[in-house]
Amino acid sequence: MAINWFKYSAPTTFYGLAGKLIPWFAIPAAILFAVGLYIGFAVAPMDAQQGEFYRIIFIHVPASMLSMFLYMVMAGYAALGLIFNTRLSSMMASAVAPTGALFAFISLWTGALWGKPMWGAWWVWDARMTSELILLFLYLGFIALHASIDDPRRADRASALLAIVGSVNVPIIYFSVKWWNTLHQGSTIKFSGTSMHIAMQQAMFTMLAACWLYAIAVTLARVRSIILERERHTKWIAELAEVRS
Amino acid sequence: MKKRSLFSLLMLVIRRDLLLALRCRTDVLTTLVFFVMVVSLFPLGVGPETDMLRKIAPGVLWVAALLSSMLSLGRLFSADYLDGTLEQMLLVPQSLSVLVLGKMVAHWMVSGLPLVLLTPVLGLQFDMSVEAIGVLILGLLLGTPVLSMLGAIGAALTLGLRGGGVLLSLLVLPLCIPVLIFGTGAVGAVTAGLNYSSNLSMMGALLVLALTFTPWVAAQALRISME
Repeated sequence: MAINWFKYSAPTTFYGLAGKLIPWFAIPAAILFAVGLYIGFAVAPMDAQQGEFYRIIFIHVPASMLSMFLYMVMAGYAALGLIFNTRLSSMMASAVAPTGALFAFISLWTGALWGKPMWGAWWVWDARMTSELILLFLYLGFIALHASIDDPRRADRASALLAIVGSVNVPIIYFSVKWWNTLHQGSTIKFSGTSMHIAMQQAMFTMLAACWLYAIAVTLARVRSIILERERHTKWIAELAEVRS
Repeated sequence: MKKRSLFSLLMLVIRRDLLLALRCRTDVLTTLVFFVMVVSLFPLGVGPETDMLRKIAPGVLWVAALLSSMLSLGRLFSADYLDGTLEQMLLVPQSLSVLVLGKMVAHWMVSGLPLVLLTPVLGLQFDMSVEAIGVLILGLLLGTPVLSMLGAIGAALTLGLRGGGVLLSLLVLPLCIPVLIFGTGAVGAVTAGLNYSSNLSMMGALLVLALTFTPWVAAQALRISME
């Protein structure tokens, strides 16, 4: 039997599939958040150098990783939408963007909270922090461009082009910021390469998995809303049970 | 009609845009005056100590150049868009990328080159050494075309949108950060007595990269905006 790979690339079919998938991601996300936070706060031992402050990395590191990954995911979907002219890919790209921006913001915020006790400053112009800030600007540019074009198809294509240009630029920005920083001064404190305690690793990976599942769940929920909004004039939307009631 | 060669097409677009800019000189002069004013405001803001001024000069001049190039980018395509010329340009049988490249070059000659030529005077205001001014000018010569080219992508994407100017800066400024870093880095290296050629080589690499890809990307952006 031939499998129709493109069945779920139509908003009509994907809408129902996304609705069915959301609980499968949202509930494990909630459980893993609870488990991860428990291990992180109760099981993992105090760090020898950083005391209790290090525990903020359990949210900080997953948030930073996801903010970078999600930009690539977003750019990938945007590129698919631009190349193959599939509506759903563009919708997915604009559904991912707010979550990515949120994670970039959380990463910066928790980084500042960690930096104050550890470095004695809320903000230092460290290469990673600066490029994270620029990443947040890129997300905001994508969202702003998409929001200011009225025609959704043109908005999709224009912001897709911007996302692709941005993703080409991200490595250039990262390395230029890194060299700029070393030119001025080396970063005062680096993550020491010491091996992590096993409970710390468990907490970190649990939180990472939880953040991934959360990101997928909210993206699916958001893409459902986008589908409803964009296809509101179609017949199949009018026939949906939740719309009719 | 005789089909023009790409090079003569490029020259035609550049000549046309320069002629238009010459006919409407205030636009060019406003950008220049803005540049000079922004640069002159900094000593008033941070105080007249020459040591500090010498230190911040490259950064101030670069950021001012960046801002004033943003200022003039809005006009890059909008006039042609409003009077319908742009639509005709999209219909031309030759490559749109070459047309866009011509507009980028003309934009740089009108809004980038004058800034570079003014820089020595402003550099003296900030008590920069002759050598530092020389490197700053080299950096600006390599970097301001990149600003015009990246900006053209933003200008094409935001064509005809409400609040386009502010949006344009939001889109383009993050992309310009590498240029800023290498440009000021070269001057910083020369004042610290280090070798500045690596920074300028990176700027050259960015220029080549931008020259290769941005005309094509901006042309695609124009097609998206005009459809």
